[in-house]
Amino acid sequence: MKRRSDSKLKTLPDPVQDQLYAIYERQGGEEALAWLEEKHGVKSNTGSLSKFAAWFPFSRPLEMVARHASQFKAAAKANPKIKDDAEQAAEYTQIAFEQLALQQQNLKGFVSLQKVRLKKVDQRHDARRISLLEKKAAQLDEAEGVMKDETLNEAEKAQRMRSLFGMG
Amino acid sequence: MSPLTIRRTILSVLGSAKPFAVPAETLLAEVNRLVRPAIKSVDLAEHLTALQGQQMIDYIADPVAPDDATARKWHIKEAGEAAFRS
Repeated sequence: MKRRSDSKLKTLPDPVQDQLYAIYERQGGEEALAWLEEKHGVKSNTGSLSKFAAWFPFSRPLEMVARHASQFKAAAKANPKIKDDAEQAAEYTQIAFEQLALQQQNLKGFVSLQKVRLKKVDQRHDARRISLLEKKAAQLDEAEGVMKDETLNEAEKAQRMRSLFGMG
Repeated sequence: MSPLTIRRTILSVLGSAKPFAVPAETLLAEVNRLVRPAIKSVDLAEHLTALQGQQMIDYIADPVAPDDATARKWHIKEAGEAAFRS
C-alpha cells in the first residue's frame, strides 16, 4: 500500500521533523520542501506539508511548550531590566512554561469534552431513531392484524388503517 | 501497561520538557495521554519515587508546601536521559 505523503513526513526522525517545522515557520513551505528534498532526499508537496505543520505542534505538546518558553527566555534575556539576573529569568521562564502547558492541556480537555458531548448527542439521536423504528414496526404489525381480521369489512378495515396511521 | 513502559513514558515526557520542570499534575495528564489504561496519581507517585531512587529524575519542592507531593515539579537528570535513549 502506498503511504500518504503527510504520513511520510510524520514518520521522519524527530530531529528532521523539528528542523522541517522550524524552516516552515521561518521561511515558508517552499523553502521547507526544498530543504527536505536536498538534505534528506524526501519529496513532498505543499498540501502534505500543511497537514504536517498542523499536526506537528500537537504531536509532542510539552516539547512545543518548552520551545515557546525558551523563546520567552531569550526575550527575557534581551530585556535590560532582567538580563543580568539569570535566576530571576529562569524563574520567569519556568512560570511561562507551566502556564503554557496548562493552557495547552485545557485546550485538549476542551476538545475531549466537546467530543464526549457530541457522542452523547449522537446517542440521543440513535435512541430517538430506534424508538421511531419500533413505533413504525408496531404500527405495521397492527396493520397486518387489521388486514387479516375477518370480522371487519373493507370499509371498517380502511377506517382502522386511516386511524392507525393518523390519517383519519 | 508494564511498569517499565510507564517509566519510559515518564522519562520521555520529562525529556521533552527539558530544561523545564513539569508539575506533577501536568505530568500525570501527559503520561495518561500516552498510556492505556490511564494511571492514577498514586501510581505515578510510585513510579516517580522509583525513578528518583535510580537518580534518573529529581524534583523541585514547592516553597510554600515543601512536603506536598502533588505540588512537586519533576525534571529529568542525565542518567534518565541516558536510560531513555538506550
